[in-house]
Amino acid sequence: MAKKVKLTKEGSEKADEIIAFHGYSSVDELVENLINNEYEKIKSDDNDDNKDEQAERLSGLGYIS
Amino acid sequence: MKKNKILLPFIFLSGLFLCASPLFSYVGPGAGFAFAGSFLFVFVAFFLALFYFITFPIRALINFIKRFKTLKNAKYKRVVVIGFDGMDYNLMNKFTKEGKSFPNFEKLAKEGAFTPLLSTEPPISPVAWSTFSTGVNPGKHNIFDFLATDRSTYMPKMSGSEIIPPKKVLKIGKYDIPISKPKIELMRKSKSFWKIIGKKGIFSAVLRIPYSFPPEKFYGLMLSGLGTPDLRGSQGSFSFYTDAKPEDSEVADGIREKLEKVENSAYNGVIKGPGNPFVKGNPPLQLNFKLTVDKDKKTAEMAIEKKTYHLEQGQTHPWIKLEFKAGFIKISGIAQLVLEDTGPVKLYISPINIDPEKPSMPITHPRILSVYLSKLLGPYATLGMAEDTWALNERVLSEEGFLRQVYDYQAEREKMFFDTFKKFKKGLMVQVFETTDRVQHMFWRYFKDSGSPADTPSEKESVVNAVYESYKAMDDFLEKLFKKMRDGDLLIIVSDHGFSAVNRDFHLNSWLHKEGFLVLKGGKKISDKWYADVDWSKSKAYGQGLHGIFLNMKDREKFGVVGKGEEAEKIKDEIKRKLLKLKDEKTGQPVAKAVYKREELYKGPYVRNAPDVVIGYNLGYRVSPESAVNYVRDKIVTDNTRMWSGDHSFTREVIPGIFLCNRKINSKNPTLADISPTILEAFGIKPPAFIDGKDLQVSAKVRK
Repeated sequence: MAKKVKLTKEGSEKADEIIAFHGYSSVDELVENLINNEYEKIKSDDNDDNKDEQAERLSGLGYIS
Repeated sequence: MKKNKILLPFIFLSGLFLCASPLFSYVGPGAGFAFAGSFLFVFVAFFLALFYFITFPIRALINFIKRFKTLKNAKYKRVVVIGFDGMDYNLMNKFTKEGKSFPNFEKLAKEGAFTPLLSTEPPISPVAWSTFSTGVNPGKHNIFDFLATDRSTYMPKMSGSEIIPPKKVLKIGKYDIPISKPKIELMRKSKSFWKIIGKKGIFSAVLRIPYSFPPEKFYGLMLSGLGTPDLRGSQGSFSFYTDAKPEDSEVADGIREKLEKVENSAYNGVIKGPGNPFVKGNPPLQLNFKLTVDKDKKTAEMAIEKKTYHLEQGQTHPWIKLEFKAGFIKISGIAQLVLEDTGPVKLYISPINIDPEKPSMPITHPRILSVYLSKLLGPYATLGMAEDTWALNERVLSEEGFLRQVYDYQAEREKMFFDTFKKFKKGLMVQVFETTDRVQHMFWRYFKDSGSPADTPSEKESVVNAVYESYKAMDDFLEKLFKKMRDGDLLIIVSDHGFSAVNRDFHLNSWLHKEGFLVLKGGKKISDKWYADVDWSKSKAYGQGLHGIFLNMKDREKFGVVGKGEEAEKIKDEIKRKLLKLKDEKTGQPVAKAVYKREELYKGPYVRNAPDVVIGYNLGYRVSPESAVNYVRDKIVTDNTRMWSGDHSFTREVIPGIFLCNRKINSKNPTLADISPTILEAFGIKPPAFIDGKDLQVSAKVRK
């Protein structure tokens, strides 16, 4: 289950301003992007197991085939 | 008690298999299925349905009031936007100068507007159509290339959608049983113009817009376009079977599937389907077939499961259904068959498209739309890049076979368009047709002045003039459209970029290696696919996608070594300077016409996902397919001898698309970002402040 975030009134107004400025489609997208931005600074993902899967997904793309 | 210990797990596992949905099978390795089919789900769904049913009149009334208010201020009640992917402004003019007539394009140009349309940087479909859809630069919509980079593996990945495997998997022996849902996320961000007008109560039909997979939820209909995968989860994997000896075949070994001779003129083979979601490693599900060939009659009978199909040499067999079984679930796909030859046997099976009648994953909004279209029109191509350019490149599919495929799909899409259009009295209709793009990619080499080093084996007029014929087909489509349009309709036609010859391949990663930015292990001179031999602890930059260079940044890439700030800026400056100086030894031409740091091109919350350096290639040059899959070779620029001989991966100034409108416009130098605000204004809606484009100020009167 995804978590819900409770914003203060001021926080919510600021979020609306950011959304209007950048064109985010929703508060959810804004929060998700901010989290991803922070997460990238600390993450240490190891996706080596997915290499074949990633390659398979690209297969058939005319620009690289 | 003991009985229960056996019975309960059995009931539990049986329940899991029974509740599984085909979607999860598509999602592939690690995919899963949830308890979504449980009683709780049914219970909640029932009450939600009841709630929606009861509140329907209220919601309809609110929408009616919203629509009434919006349409009162609208300049146009019905707006039609057509995309002709890759239609080139300069080529259109060249054809006209040569006396080749396009009466319907000419009518539009005379009555309204016909101008070049500036694309995005880079001018490639995912980026360009995303800017078209949203009116914003890539820094706000997050699509910078066909491919994005996975910073933990340095692998390229599709930029348009992300598949997140289920987090919870039950492991029992060789079985992996997913018990939570996988997620498919659209990576194109920001707000599309159909979403904005939907909020104002205006209904839209949006068909086959590139990078709309998975489809958005909004007040309207959507069928996903480019970026939609096949049933195997790839961008289009065909199967090819032949009894020719490898040394007698021009088809590469790795392309051929096994065809086992069992009797005189009879063969057994296997069709590979999606991965089995319940078995470790997800081995492909398979269907056996028997092919019986009659060489005298040049025909064959192909028996798959309980059905037999009659094939004739050189003809395309219409869509057939293929059902793959994984436990109790069935995953349904559709494919076309072409018996290219009977001596030696050459059988082509198209990529297995998601069956629109039983979609294993969402390809339309609402979901039922794909089923409706299928019932109405029969099976149709659902794969994003359905025209099989790869099979033609590999000489598996003949040039005629490829063109038949292109026009079969064009016919399907026109039927879809006109069926939807006739039901549309008010609102917005958008559809993109890709025929011009696919044909130009594959047949540009037939232009006498192309300078292409690729083969031009055919003398058939339909092949030699294929590019012109594709433009003519779009003109014919317009003729049909004009007959169905009303006087008050606004019609806008755009293409996302132009086209030109691509005669030379630039091996970007080889160049980065030669210049010392990319270092190989143990002093190696070349590296295998996917950067197999790269020493990341010594590498400062790597190429990714069709236009991008990424720095190997500390705290960003897994084995990053480059520090932020001055160090990174110095490397970017050096790459820019060296690339702009680089000349092709054979032709003396510069490879790149423009090179940008990402901050020079993009603004917005997603700029951090962009390549650090973006290359605007000179006409005739593009990144080699080998470099795009991360090989490092010993050559920097080589001839492009592939049938894929036309392209648009150049800098945008040299490759304008087209803009046509049945009204005059009061604005100069339109760009793709201007389309969204222009459409919003046509409906009397003020474009939101975040939009980068400008209103093209469409005139309200037709000039006679």
